[in-house]
Amino acid sequence: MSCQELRELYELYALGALEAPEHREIDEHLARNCPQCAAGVKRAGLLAASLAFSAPAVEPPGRLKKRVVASVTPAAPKAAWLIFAWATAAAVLLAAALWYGAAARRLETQLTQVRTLHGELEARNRLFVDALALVNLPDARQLVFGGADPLPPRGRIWVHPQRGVLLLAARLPAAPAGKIYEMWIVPKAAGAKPRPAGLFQSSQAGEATHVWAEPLDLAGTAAIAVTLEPEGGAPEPTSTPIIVAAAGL
Amino acid sequence: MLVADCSGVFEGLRRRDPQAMAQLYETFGRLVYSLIYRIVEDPGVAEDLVQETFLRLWNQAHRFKPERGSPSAWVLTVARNRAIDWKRSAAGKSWESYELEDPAHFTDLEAELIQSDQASRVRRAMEKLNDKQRGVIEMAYFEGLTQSEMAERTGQPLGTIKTWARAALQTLRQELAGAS
Repeated sequence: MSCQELRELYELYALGALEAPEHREIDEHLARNCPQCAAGVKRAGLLAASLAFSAPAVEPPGRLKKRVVASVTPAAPKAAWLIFAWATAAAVLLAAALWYGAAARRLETQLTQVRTLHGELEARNRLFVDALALVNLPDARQLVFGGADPLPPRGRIWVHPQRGVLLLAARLPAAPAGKIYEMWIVPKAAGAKPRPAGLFQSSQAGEATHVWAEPLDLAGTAAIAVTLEPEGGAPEPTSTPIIVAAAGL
Repeated sequence: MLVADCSGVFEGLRRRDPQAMAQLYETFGRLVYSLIYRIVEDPGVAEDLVQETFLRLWNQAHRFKPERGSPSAWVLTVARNRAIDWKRSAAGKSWESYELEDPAHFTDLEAELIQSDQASRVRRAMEKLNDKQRGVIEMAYFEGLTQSEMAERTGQPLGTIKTWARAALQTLRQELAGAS
């Protein structure tokens, strides 16, 4: 269908009222980065969302707010502790710097380390929250790699059309200096190039967790792969894949 | 709080601040509950799905840019998808519109769609539709039915359903123009 013909279907697409073949045709059209249709579908999404206002207003039970907030509160003590620790460390370091001018440079270094550690902990916490959320989705698909191979690595991959890809690998050696692991989404279409899906490192223990939180066209994906690439990554794979998990979808 | 003033809330969500979750609920809780309840018609299920909706928003907030988008449209789309997914799953049917709740679909927009008088605007627009046209829109939006499922449900030819849907959407487009 042309853009002109698709225009008539934007709202039905946004509502999910199209049949599967028409729906997929628009998906594929949007995947080709058509700016006109992308903007049209966004506007249609707004119109569809506004229909929520035609639902009669109903007052939710008072307990629901507590329940919603409590569902994300368990992380709070840790976060509060981290902030408190950071603030205390900063105050102590600042006072020490004032009192001991000669030691200021060393203390600033320590402060930077605390900040870095805090950032790493937050990033790791976010990674695990995203990973757990993906694994818990009922429609997440699990792929296994390396199980039958005598050599490492081994592990599992979960894929989900909206939440993307989660990779858990074991026995994956830490990348050598100047190198990094890069994940790829390998399309089914003949001649289509693998799509980069993020960089990651493996720990000294040979364990790696990587989340690529972008929508994924499961039907159009042949495999998830990992290669070793120069630091900074590469736009296309430049080495033989270390991990290949066939999507089988 | 006006829904257009959500930047601070989303900033808090990105910092994983539970207080920001409380503010998000204050802003959207009643609207989300009303929408989900209308779809699932069960208060217990509605509570579960409201919680699921806000958790999803919490987990995806770092990818949303409220200053360039429509937070309310994103929130309502996520809520509707949770409820329609539950309703269709209960009926043994699949659902194909998850990708349309990606935060990227609700950024780079010209304006926040949902304004203070939006409820009355939408209700007025729906009143402009005749019963058949309104029925088609409600089956699509509140039940997640495709056009052929509507034809099966109503016993009408598919072409008739498509005609009603096209006319209804044209009217809604005209009546709600200026809100986007």
